[in-house]
Amino acid sequence: MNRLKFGWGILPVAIFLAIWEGVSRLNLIPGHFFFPPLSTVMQEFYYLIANGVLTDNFLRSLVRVLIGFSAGSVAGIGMGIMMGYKKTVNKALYPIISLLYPIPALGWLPILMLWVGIGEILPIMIIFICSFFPVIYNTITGIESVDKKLIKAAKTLGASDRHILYTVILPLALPNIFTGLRLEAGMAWRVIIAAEMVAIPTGIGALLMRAESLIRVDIIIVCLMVLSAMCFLFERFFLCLELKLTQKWR
Amino acid sequence: MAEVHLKNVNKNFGKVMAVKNFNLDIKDGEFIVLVGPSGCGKTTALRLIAGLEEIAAGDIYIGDKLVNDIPPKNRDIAMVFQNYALYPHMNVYGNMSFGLKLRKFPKKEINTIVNRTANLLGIGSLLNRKPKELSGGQRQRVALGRAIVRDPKVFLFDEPLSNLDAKLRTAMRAELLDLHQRLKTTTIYVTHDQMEAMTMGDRIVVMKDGLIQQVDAPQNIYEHPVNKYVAGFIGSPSMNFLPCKLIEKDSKMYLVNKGFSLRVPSNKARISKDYVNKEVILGIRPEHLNAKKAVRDYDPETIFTASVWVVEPLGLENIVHIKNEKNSIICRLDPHIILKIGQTDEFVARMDLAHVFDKETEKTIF
Repeated sequence: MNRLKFGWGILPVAIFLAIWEGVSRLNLIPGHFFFPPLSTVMQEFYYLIANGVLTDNFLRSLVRVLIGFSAGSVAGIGMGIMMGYKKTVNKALYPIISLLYPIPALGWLPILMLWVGIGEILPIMIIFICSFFPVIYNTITGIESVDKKLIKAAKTLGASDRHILYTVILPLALPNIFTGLRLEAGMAWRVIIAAEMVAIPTGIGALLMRAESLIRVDIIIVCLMVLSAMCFLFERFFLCLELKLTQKWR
Repeated sequence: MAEVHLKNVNKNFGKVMAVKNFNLDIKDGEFIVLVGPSGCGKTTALRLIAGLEEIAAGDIYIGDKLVNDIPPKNRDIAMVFQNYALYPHMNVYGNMSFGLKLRKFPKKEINTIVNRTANLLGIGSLLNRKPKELSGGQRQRVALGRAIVRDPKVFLFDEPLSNLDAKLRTAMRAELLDLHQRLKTTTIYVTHDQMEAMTMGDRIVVMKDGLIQQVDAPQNIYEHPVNKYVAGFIGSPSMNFLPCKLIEKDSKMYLVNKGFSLRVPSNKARISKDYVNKEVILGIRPEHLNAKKAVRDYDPETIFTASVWVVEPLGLENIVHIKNEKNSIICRLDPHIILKIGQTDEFVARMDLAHVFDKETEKTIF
């Protein structure tokens, strides 16, 4: 059954790629120079890996995403736990968080360029901001949505506040926390590409911009395919983790 | 096991007084039921005993220990909630052993206690299942097991059977009583179901608007309610209340309104002397009314006529709604008595079992 489903998922993609190759090879679109066939793109993909250009830029983007996303998520979960569990902390911080959350991560770019300059810190900070706020919100929602009766039951069973947090609240808030992580894992890639396109000279986004200036559509498509694959893989990773940890009892 | 004492306990939520001047002494090993409609303060009272709510005034003792400022975890109580409050991410074993692990019991001992209790409750084969894989009755047993393994001084039950269907509720009621007889642990049980209260409690506490109305054994509450509220709350269908006037004629007392004139038994007539010529409320239970044709011995001065309005056959009995002038009355009759809808018939009131309430204070006169 799963194989059948997998086949049905792959089939439309295969058809799409075949149409792409066919349309481009048969010059069905005017100005086909801007629409290279799949085989040319894959060839360029191989060259870019072989000469290290793609690998180098990809690793730079990957490291930025991993550091920024990990730091943003850990800080977001930590702050979310405090705000979700302690009403006083929530009251103190919620207004500030509410004011800063609507600002898009890329909106911070100009001010961060002035504050930290153009270097490795800049994209990491952008990814940090991009991950931090949504993860906070999801963590708070997860903690607040835990049935209060479960907490009361734990109290009558002899649990301390710390025990309740670790054994009841956090496990039950996991689905919400994972939703935040999953969505932001993909978003981190989208944001890093945008940031690299605008302000940072290395990484997949920068490669994308260089390809645009050289009118190399094949390289642009390679970069977009890498971006798409990374967004998909990161989201899938957290989805699988979430299912593994919570599916048995949800 | 322990006694529980509540002395002048008060609790307010803002301006709303949820529990007012609550005084109750619960004996060691007693099964006491707090009963009343939604919002009467019974669950709040239970939470105050559990320590889940802070009292505004008064004292609560569990055993000889004043527990006002003691957190729930140190009160040596175990509470069973209406929605079971089982941890969905833990299996049955995890749920049942939760309290023991917190008390740092050795693993081997936890294993023995959990298995013994699970077998006692008939859930020994379900220890590896998650709550979502259990039926309502099984979940209820797990919640019960989680409370039992702690071997607490006091069990607190917050409407534990409300989420079960009628059949299962009856079965679980019997199981809970059986369990209480075996464990002999002091139990405080909250319900809005008067039937549950009547069948389970050694004593019942009837509550209204945060106030205790009456505390007594179930049969005493049924037979001797202190006021109209308690009389109406206990019993199903509930007591008929008929406004009337108490009059004296030829040294006899009668309760009279447009539809009937019923003689008050002489022993009760003496009690009601102060109310002669005053408006009062007659309270008579459906089971204390009968069709005249089904009764051999009766006092002719306790007969009234009424037309049959609705008949609800229940097999064991018929619930018959009758109308007499402006009085709507419910009777519980033998199903073999044939009554035709719309037909006027004669009925007999067991006035020796009837009650009369003060119209103003609603307190019982007799």
